[in-house]
Amino acid sequence: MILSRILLIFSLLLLSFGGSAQTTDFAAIEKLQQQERRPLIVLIKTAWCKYCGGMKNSLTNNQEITTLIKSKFYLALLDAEDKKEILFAGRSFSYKPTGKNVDVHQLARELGSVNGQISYPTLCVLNAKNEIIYQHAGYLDPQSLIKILRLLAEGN
Amino acid sequence: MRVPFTLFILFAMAFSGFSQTIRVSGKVYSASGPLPFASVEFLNGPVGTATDSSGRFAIQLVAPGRYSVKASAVGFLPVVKQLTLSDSLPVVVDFLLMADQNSFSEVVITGTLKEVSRLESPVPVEVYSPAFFKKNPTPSIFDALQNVNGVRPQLNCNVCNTGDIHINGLEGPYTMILIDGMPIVSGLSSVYGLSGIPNALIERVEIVKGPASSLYGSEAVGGLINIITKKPQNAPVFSGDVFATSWQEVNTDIGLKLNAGKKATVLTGINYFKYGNRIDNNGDNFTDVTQQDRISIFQKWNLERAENRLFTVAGRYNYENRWGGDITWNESFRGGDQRYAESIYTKRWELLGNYQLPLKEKLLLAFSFNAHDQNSVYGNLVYLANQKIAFTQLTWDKTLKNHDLLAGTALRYTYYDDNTPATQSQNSLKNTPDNVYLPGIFLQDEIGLAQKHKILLGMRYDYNSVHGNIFTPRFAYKWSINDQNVLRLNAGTGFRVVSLFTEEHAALTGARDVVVTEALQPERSFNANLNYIKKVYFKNGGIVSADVSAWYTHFKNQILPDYLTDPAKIIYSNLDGFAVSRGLSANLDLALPNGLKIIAGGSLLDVFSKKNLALNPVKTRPLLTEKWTATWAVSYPINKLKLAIDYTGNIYGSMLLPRLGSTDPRSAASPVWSLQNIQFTFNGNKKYEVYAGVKNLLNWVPGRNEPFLIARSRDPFDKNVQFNASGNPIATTENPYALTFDPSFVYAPNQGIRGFLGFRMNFNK
Repeated sequence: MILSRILLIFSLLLLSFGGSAQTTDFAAIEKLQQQERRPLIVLIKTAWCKYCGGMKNSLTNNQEITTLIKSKFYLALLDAEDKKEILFAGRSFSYKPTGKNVDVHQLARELGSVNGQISYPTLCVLNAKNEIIYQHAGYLDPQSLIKILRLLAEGN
Repeated sequence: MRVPFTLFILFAMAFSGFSQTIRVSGKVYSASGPLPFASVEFLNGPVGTATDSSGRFAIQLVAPGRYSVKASAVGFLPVVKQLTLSDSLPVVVDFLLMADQNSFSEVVITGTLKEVSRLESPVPVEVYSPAFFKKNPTPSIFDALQNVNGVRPQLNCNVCNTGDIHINGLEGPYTMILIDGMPIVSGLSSVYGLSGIPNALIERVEIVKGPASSLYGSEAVGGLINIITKKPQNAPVFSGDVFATSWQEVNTDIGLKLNAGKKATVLTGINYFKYGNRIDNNGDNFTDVTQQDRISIFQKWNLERAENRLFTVAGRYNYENRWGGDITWNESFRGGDQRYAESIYTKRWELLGNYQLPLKEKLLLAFSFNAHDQNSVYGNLVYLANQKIAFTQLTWDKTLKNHDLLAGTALRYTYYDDNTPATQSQNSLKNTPDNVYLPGIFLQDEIGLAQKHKILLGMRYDYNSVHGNIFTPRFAYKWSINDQNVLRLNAGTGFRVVSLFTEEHAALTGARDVVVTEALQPERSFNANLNYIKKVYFKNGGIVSADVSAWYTHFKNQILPDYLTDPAKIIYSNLDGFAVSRGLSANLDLALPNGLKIIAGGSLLDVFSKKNLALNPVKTRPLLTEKWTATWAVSYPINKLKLAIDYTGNIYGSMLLPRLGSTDPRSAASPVWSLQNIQFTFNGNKKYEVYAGVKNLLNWVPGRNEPFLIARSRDPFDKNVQFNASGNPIATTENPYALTFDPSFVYAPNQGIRGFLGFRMNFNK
């Protein structure tokens, strides 16, 4: 009885949301850069971090931001705890589960470390030569993201 | 990968037609270095620019005059400087920006393999970071947990203020407390050791409500609390935190990190807590709050090995001297019947480590050893106990296609000895300490079904050298409907061997006689738990995450203390019937772009047992169990003042209380009660922080509407009590309610409103 009521509430809650993203695979970046050189925005996130979810949502669903990204940037999402191997910038990065302290994907470590530490979310922007031109650790609300992306777009 | 990248944006180029320009240049930097892409604007001029990748900017201005220059960057507070420019001299101006405390990030840092990724697993795990506990600073983990929904630290004794942790309405012994995943806090220390775990050594606390038996052992019936200690790699070089309250409680935490050679990092933590103020606000001649003197020293070594393999070893020593009782007591009365006090000296040390075997497969060996030595007196009753627990566990982690396997074997050895009949052989009076071996094996398979479904199957087998075989199966299912909706279902069984003396404080204090009517059987239970998480992202950047859980636990046997049948006794027997704990809980976590954060939760609990099923079923609600509870933490930063405000609190519904029979004038049930706190934190810069506030704003104390909290506190040795032939007290003019001394009527801290002031510092280099 209680269970069925709970299930009803749940199913009502489910009838919401759904996002469309224009994200890129790391493996495809090289080809894209050959076609058109653009900065690459990487959002380093984990599945359990709710602020990461908020930023991902802004990057993929906020109209002003997606318009900016579509015209000036490439966007890639990087799950720091993903266990897949990633090919990027001619190198192979992997998740090396070799101890309790190295459970971060190598690529996330490369792109997301600020002062040797990773926190989530971290935004990292690379230029077309795959050099880090901007990093920000911590949550950015949509207004701040727009500000940053505009500056970066102008700078390019 | 970081290389110089030069970037100049010169809007001023538009003015290049003029011949005379003034060059203004400088750097924008933060505490951690130059700030790239910070914007620099002339508020009363037409130009603005941004810094390059090394934090530099340069700009050409046309006219001399006074200018206001503003440097700002996302995540930092802006700084405005006044400039007076004359003629054509170039001007250099630098800006130092402070980080905006209002920027959010999840403070889980590099590291923590299974510990964190388990959050993705089908088992719902709640993670609390030190930032959460700082909202209402407390000296130990025991007090800190009052801010977590569904978790209630329960004091069990008016006099010595020891307590245990209730999860979802289940008593403390059903809560398994782990340090770094190891059962270090069990038996004696679950009552006497919790206050000795300082908050400062915590990296985070993970809480699983509901059964967690396949991984951690069958005792985790109510839930488990896993305290993850700080990793040397992530700790600051030096940290200090000192606070004092207007009751003259003083808590000091110091953390220090050193590199021992190139391959080792050592983290040392020292905690000292002192409360030595004999306050008796309720005038019962007893201390309201137990006097405490406690030191804890923690050291953790992290050794670097080839291929990033893990090796950490940690040790902790804890010494505590606590006493409560007659306000005129001193140590010369200890153990005598002149003045009453409960005095406990605890010496405790722990050693724990994690070692990854140098193999290609991922095999991890965990080991721990702890010794707990306790010398306590309750009035003239002496209780000396000694407990040693050794634990070792080997786990093997293997991923095969969509199977994430975890297999392991564990062995726990418990030695327990005390000066009571509990460890005496029945026939002779020879002392026979308890020796219990608990070997076990477990296998867990997390199966990824398609993208959105995960199933976890777990099986654990333990062999208890006293009680025999214990099987605890476990099932969990997770459905990630999408990024924003997750549903989890968990089910499992529990098995627990009751250990009266180490778990039941009341069994010890001697105010009542303990009667065990039959051989106590292990408790058996099964449990199911449904959990749903929903996240909502608002357009303006606000984030809401809400979760709802429903749970049901059925006990086929439960050992419940019976305080009511005879006020002079606590009767223990097996349950002739069944017991149930069920309920609903909801949590809301809201973060708005203006910095407002709200974490709030509420639970509805229905806990009862049914006896005499065949004849005349009686439903009873256990003592000291609330029907509903809520907690909250509201935080708001005022960035201009570098101030953060935290308002925290909890509220509990009425609970039944342990009275001494029907003549006892004390209430049979508690009122609804609430503890509320407010805190202001001034953040000077990243290195220093000052915090102050008021605890227990409502000045709520449990004795407010009671004639007394402790029965016959002026005659603690029952010297003036007259007893009838059957041994029951009789009413006299001196003893109108026919009571005996009783300090077990307690359900909340007897400490009213108090202010606190604290200071934190942190050095990273």
